[in-house]
Amino acid sequence: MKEMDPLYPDTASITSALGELVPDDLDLAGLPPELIASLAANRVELGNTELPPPPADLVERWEAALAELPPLVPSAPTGASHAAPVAEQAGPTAPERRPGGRRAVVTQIRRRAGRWAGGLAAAAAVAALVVVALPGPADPLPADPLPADTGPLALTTKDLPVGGQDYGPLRDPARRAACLAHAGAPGATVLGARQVDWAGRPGVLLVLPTGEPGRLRALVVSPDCAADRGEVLADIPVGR
Amino acid sequence: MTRSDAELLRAHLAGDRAAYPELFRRYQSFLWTIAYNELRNREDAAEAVQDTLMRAYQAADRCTSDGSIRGWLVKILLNICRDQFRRSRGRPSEAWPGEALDEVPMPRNPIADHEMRMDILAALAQLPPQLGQVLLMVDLAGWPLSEVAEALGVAVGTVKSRGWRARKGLFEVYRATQPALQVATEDR
Repeated sequence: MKEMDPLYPDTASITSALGELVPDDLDLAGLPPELIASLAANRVELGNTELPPPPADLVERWEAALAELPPLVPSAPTGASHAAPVAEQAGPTAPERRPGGRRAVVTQIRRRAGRWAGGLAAAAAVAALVVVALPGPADPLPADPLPADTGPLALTTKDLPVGGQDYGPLRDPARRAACLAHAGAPGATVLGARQVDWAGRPGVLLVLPTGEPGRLRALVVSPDCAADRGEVLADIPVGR
Repeated sequence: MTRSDAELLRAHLAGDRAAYPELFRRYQSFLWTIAYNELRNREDAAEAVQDTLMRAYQAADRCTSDGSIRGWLVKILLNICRDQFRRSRGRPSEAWPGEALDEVPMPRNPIADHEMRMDILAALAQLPPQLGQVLLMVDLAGWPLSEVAEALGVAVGTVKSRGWRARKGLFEVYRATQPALQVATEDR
């Protein structure tokens, strides 16, 4: 039988030294005394270690985000009137220039009506619209849709910029969150983004989950979208 | 008087504008450490913490973790980290940012404490995130296993198993950079 270390003569002393993080089926008596001693020492050191505070610039950023938080809305808002005026936080940097030139997606979409006043007319519930991904900074942006004779195509989830990070003027997370709340999608996770030209108007396409497998939500907002301003240019369910 | 997490959350829901910032500041260091451990990228981790700030703010009325507000925050953060990871997959990771370690508060013994902190956290960063997070919660933060299990969405046995593997992994990494500890423990 293995001779136990005088410091750890029984399993109770080993358990006491190692704490709770020991699998139930572990053979404590079979552990080398050196390993027990070292793990116990590391455990004590870890317990005495203070977590490093976040870098000061990040704390400042989060403090700014806290200051930007709109008044709490217990239930999901259905319109912009829920968002009280809040000072807008400027984006930290210029929009990233994405390589590769323009890629067009011509879409025939069914627009969700009644979401937010100020978007396209409800009469355009079925409309052929042109989305053009923009290669660079958002302002000013020339409208440059594809020719109408390109013909409409059905927009699928594969056409959406899932994973894209071209947030443009919404690059700052605090402003983006404020915009989402203003646009009726508070707290939504953004799956991807791209600056677009939407029916001749500059915008930012945000891809949001819907909670339904295979179905996403394409939200296009105006570049000035923030807690107290901006428009929803389109709000489209895409996919199954 | 210091308000509990639950009291802060209730005050926030009642319209106290100071309550949520106080709650967030209480855990921002921990959330940052967890986020960096998960994503290993400064900007992604910073954004994940900020997204957590936003999402928890909006979802406060749906918080069901009566006993563990901090566990609820970590659960939100880890979900965001998973989304972040999927988005940034394939992008090269940054090394642990030096400034994060340079900005620790003045320790009691500046040299010894600072070096120990650097070594442990640097060693922790070499473990798989799923293992490191258990040590962060249990050994560094002192959370009960049941609370960790709830936050991670796993069984207590899984927490124990991950924690044990993490400890052994951390020991190997840490020991390699601590010859003095190695000698001391081998002499024991």
